[in-house]
Amino acid sequence: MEALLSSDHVHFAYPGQEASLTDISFAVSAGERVALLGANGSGKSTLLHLLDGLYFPQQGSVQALGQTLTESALEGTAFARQFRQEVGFLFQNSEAQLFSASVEDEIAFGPLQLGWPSEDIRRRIGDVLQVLEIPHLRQRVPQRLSNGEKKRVALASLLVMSPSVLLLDEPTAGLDPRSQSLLLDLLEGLHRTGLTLVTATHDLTLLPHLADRALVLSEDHRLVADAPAADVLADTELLLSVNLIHAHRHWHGEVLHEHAHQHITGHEHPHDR
Amino acid sequence: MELPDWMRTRVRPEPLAAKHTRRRSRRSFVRRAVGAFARLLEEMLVSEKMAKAPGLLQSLDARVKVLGLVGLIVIATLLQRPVALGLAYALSLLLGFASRLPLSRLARVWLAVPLFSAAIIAPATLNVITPGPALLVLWHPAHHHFGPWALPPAVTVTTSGLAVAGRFLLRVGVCVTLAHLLTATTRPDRLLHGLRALGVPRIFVLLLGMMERYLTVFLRSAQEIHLARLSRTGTLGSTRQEQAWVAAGIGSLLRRTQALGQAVFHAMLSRGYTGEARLLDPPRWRSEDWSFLGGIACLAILLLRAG
Repeated sequence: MEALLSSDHVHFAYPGQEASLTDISFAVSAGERVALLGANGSGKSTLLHLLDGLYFPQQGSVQALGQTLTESALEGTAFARQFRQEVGFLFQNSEAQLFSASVEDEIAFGPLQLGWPSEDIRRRIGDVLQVLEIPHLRQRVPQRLSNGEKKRVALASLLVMSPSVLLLDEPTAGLDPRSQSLLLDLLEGLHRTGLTLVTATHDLTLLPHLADRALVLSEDHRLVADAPAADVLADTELLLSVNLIHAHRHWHGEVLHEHAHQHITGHEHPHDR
Repeated sequence: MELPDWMRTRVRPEPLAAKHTRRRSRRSFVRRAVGAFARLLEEMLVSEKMAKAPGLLQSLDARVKVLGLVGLIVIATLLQRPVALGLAYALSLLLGFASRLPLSRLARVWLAVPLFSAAIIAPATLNVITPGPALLVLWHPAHHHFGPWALPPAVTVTTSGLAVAGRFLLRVGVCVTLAHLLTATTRPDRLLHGLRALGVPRIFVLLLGMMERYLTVFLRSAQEIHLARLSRTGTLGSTRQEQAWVAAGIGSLLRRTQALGQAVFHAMLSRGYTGEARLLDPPRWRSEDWSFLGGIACLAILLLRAG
């Protein structure tokens, strides 16, 4: 199957800093559900920025929808329009993503940039607000919403453009359990419609809900595994080496007990010292 | 792993000695800064509401307002006679009332502007800058010569100096009131659309658009920095210490600014922003817009003839 998104030996460093990504190569096919897994600072968010054509690699290349992403390719061309419509990026910080005066304006921002007719945009806004169960927020000020509501508005602002790929940066971070569950259900439903999902996360408990395949980034910013999510979760050695699981600490009476394990399944441990 | 003793015990802090607690009844400078950020955020929301409220200028197309009000500002800078400037001032106030702008808001513009402008223009009232008939003698300098410069025997306020200052204050008052009317009665996205439609370069509109969208995020961030400081502070420092902290906070805010600004720009870019201001309800020229423009053109001619 032809790759929808791919990264070919990508190296990237922020100006004046050490490498954030080193020799990253992988491909994502249409309809896949992929997780970028790694500890904080491993380069997950940077990689999503590269896949969205916001940064460009110093070495190697990133391809999307059959074209190499370069500054000139994304500068006012027909491809740029297609790319911006088809690839949606949910930022980790909803505060930065929501910049309009009302929820309606926020959701309309992308379609307006594409020059869609107002009537069509209005209809879509109504539909997408219904799907996300937030029609009552339409005229509200985005900055005054709760975290869960902000995340849903940010997602609505992407879904309204009918994307074929969603890049999600820690989508469940800072959400309460109910909002988390709503978001996961929604993403699962969207995936069933054929949407490609690329999610950056370090939350192993959510991995089975977010992805079928996992790309694991090490703390030295290299891709160290590309395997089915279940296999990655079962590989304790790998998860320990990339700092995704750790020496778990808990109290037995007055004594702090310590042993390594991951938090994704129930576990037993002896109560001796 | 064993925790160190100090982490295993809970010690209640001693209450501060009376000498530390008695003297403070003033509000913390940091808390005042937090309040100021909150007020600014609130004001931005109020401005948005005001621009949507019913009123003469609110009902007009942004392009018409930009053309009409900026045109009046240009004309105000050409007027010389106080009567003509006074008429222009009266016109700007009438437009404010017809747009149902709160009096307190307009008054703030009227009070702040003359105050700052008066400070700037004050030296021009003296015979040292504007020679003319003396109205009030201020000072008889003992020495008239300072190197290559020479002072008159008496430093006085002159009638011609006062006329210059009066004209300046009126002109500034008219211009600022008109500019305030434009921004207070037009939603920012519509204003940008109007500017773009009238040929303002895309890069300029792009920068303004980003700035406008970034401002709320910036203010919230500034508020958070100061609140984080307050939450870790049990006592008030001296005003000077607190001012130093707020100044340092501004430095850290500027560093954050760069990251936040980039995040907002990326979020806009990611959804296809190219610098064009686009609206869900693109405005159409209506008879009211033409009438307003016609009326402003007639008044502009009258003002030019008067002044």
